[in-house]
Amino acid sequence: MLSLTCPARTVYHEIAAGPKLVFLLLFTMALYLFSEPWLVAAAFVLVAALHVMPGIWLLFAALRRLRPLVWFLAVVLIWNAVGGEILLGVVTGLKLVAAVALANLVTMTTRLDDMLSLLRRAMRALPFPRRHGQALALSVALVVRFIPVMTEKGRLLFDAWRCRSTRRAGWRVVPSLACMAIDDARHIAAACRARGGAGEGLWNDN
Amino acid sequence: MAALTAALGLIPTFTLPFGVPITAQTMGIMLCGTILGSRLGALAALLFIGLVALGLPLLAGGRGGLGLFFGPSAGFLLGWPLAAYFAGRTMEAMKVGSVFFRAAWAAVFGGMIVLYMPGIVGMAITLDLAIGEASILSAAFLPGDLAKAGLAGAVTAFLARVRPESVLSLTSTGWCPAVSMFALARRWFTGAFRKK
Repeated sequence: MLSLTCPARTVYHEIAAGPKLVFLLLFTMALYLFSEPWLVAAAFVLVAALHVMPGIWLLFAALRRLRPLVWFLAVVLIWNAVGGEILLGVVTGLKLVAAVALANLVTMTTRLDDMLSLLRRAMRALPFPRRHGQALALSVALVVRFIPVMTEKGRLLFDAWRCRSTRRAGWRVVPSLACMAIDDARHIAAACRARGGAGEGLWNDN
Repeated sequence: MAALTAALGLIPTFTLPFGVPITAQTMGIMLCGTILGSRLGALAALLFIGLVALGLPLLAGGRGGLGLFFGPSAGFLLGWPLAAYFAGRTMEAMKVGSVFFRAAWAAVFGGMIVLYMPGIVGMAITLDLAIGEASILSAAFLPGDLAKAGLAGAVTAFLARVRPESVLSLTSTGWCPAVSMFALARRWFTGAFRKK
């Protein structure tokens, strides 16, 4: 299964997931609490510096991930410019880019198994019964396993549609895909039950 | 259903001019509620956004990671479990009408009325806008979401016919404000028609 983690190792990979997430949370809270332009600009420069430190390639990789924000930033700037508050628009834009870029940096430099082990530790610390943790672990594993399967089945349905029609398939494959997902889920549930089940109490409504 | 929601990301998307993409995955969340019911639907949606937060590129266009939870769609993403819960709750409580009609109304209530609340608040916070201004921007979603609610109703009705035992929301019962709202609206319409 693909993840969004950066393949090349950086110094940030050595830091545990927990402290990185705490820093992200505190940084974002502070960013939205303060509106002084110089503070926001300093936060933006700090995030940019964090990207440049391991190498300029990381900055370019991060910029690619920020592309969906371009339209959004344009709307913020235009909206505020029309209202005669261009500085407010710039500050809002910088805040947003800094928060999203730092969050992306945490995702890019934290391996999926580190995130999962943090989740496991958090589940153990929370007052949930142990079987809930087992059910969650099984659910994560099943979803991660079944996403490529469902994606492949979706592709096959699209191909089958294209063989028979010149029109785009779009939503027309959704009922068949939903039916396949339900069938797969039932088969897997039967197989899990036959092997003793996992976290039954969480899933059974009755 | 979480894997199905991810697979729905295959269906081509388009992005609104203010940066929020319109995808079929919202329909996956509506389906979580209308097929699995309130509790399991909300858990499936929670699992899905949890995996997105962990860094799996499950959203349309291969997007994922923590960055999404700090952007303009954060409110909509965080509202997905709530949307699935209320869609399921409506489906469980509503016993009048065809499966298509019930599922479509449940999808409208959960996937639009409930989902827009955190979505609009999220947009207002991240864009530094007033709630009214963010609501105007979000109104661009309405036609697409109405179509998705209709399709969610059709898919649920289809599954209720071909795999009736799999539509868990039909076998559960409960109470939901959306059903009372619907009953009130029906009474009002009936009254209005009688006056004519």
